[in-house]
Amino acid sequence: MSAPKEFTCAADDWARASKEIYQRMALSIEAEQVRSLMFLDTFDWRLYRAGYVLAHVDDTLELSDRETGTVVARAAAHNGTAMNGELPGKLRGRLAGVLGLRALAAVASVDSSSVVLAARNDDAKTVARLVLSDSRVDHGGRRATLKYRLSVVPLRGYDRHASRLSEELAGTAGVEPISSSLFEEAVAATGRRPGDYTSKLSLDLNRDVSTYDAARLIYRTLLQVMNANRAGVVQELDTEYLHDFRVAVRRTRSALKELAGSLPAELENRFRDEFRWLGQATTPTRDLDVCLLEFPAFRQRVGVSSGDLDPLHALVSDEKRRAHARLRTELRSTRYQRLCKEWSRAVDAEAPSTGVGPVGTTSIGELADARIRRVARHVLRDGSRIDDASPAESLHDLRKRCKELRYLLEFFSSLYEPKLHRSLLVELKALQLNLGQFQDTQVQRHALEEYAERLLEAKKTPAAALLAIGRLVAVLEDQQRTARTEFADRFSEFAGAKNRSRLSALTEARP
Amino acid sequence: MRTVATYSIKGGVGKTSAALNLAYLAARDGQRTLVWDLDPQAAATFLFRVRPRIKGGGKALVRGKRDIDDAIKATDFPGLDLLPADFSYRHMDLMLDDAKRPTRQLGKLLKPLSLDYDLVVLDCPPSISLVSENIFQAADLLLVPLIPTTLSLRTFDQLLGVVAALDGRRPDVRAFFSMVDGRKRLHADIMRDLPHNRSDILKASVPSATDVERMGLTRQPVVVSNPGGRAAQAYTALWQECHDALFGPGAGTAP
Repeated sequence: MSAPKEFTCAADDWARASKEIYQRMALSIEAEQVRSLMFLDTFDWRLYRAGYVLAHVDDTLELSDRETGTVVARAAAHNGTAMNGELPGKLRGRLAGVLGLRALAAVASVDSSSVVLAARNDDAKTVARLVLSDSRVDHGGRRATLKYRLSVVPLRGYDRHASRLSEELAGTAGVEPISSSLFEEAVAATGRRPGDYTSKLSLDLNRDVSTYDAARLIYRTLLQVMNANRAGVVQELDTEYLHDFRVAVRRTRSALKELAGSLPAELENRFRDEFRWLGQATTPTRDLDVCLLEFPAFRQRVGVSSGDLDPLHALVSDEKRRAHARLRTELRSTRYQRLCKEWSRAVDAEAPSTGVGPVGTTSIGELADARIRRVARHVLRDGSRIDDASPAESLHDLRKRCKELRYLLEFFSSLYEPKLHRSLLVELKALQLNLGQFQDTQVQRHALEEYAERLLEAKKTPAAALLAIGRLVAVLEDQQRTARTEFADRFSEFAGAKNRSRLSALTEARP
Repeated sequence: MRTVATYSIKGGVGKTSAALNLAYLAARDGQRTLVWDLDPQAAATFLFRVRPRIKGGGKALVRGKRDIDDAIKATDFPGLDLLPADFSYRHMDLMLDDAKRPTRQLGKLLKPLSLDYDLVVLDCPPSISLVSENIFQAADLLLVPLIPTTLSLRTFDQLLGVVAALDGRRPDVRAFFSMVDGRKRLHADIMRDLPHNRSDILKASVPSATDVERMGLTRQPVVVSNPGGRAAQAYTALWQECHDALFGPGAGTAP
């Protein structure tokens, strides 16, 4: 096992221990630094999960390996570049796949005073470094002092010297190894924990819990997701805050339908209306976000001069700004605040403000089995009725049924045999993808036709712009036809004997 | 990963000084940089205060018997590492000649380093030999220091001919004026009379300066020991041109 590299010591011992180390190990002072350092990550910790730590130090962005602390990429950056989504080329290429649509934001800001001490050999070559640092975290105007930190920095090709330095430190009175990195400690000082947010739902239930308790746990978890994302939606940091917010609203609405009777009917009815309102309030902004995100693909598909779609882009961007301003107003409204407050009280873990509904005492295992079976039956029935002559609405309705089934499977994943559950989800996702492609192209086509009308009315729009939209609509029609043709195969795979037996085995199999 | 080689048939023209200063500037800009000191005289290794010795000798390294990773040493500068010289490099021609594809062996050895480094700087021994052919195959940019004399320009043109005649991959060859003495009329005349359309001669020129000569004493790049000096400014301008030649203008890091 390699020797620890990070140590700490109590404030009272700091002066004595540093002096002792400095003298005993014959180190020389290489630099004294006062540095401001900002750790960056996405809201859902994509860099952390991928094993990276990204820090903005002075004018440089440093990407390090989370485990070893080795800098894997370094790039010059001006203030705020990373947070404006403008990562320097080298880092952008490396991280594009990890970040996806998510923006970087500061997760902790640290001010450090450090002394860099060098251990040198007979040629006066530095063979290891020891950095003594005293750091503070600034969080919402409050300052938290972090532990004194003594970090051994090994140099490639001179590992032996670093190990020796670590051993000496371990033998110094008052100096202790520390397991958390500066990044982890700084994040903890802000009240967060790396990895504390994920858009994936992970509920730990067991079959004997009452439906009343299980439903409240589901509702509370989803409300936490909404609360966590609200600020990002309002500030429009990236499109995924709204995406996650909407999914939480949709899941809540789906649970209110499928777990109806867990809470008193009057309360459920009221919140069904409230969450419908909230869902509808977010729809225009999300549709426009999707349209704007599709633009690079649109430009590729029409295969014309990319400038031809600029008038359309300007119109959609303008619409989006307005829609977002309306959404912001709704999320700051008394109605929204009341919804959150009252819903939170109704589904409270300890002292809910409401009583048990008619099915609240049923065990969740029993109810989950019944609901999954029922919704799956509906999916199979509705899907089998769709043929080439069926209207687009029937595919849209089937898509909604599939989402309900998906949400049920996600709420109750902890109740089922994991392998079986996973296989079912894979099949369901494939069907959903096909239905999603059909529906999305349908929505986009209609939106584009409407925008074309408006651009035409504006009179100043160049003909090339309208022609480009026309070509795009034709491409989308083609894609929609393909999705429609593929539907039959997709559905028969989902409705095949193998998957049907999975469905029935799932609600009988026990983990 | 991109590779630049400071190369000249002649010795004492400022190859090592250029290699060290450019490597330092690259690392300061955020490029993870490795200098490979291929010269058995080990000047670059000495300047970085590293011992000029490879465990097992150069032969094991060149033949791929010893992992190149294990021979790399960190310098005192962040982001800048060194693959030290070894006295056995004086026989490198023979070592390479034994390999399967003797002219491609150095390039092959460098390949696995592409995960760890953005830039490799080869500080080459003065010669024209099998080692040089390997360098031509491995480098993206061949950077040639020229003392402004008629003969050195003629030699540079000969080198361009040699590179143009190579099979397959050919490096981009650029020269820069080195050890320029402002008091010498010949230097001024040569630089003034140079055809303006010669894009293979870079604009930056490095003066003959005391601080470059003092590198042997300070054992630091002049951009560290005397950052405001004329030589440091010249290397900074030279790095900007090399950066653009290697990575494209405006790419990656800003100076």
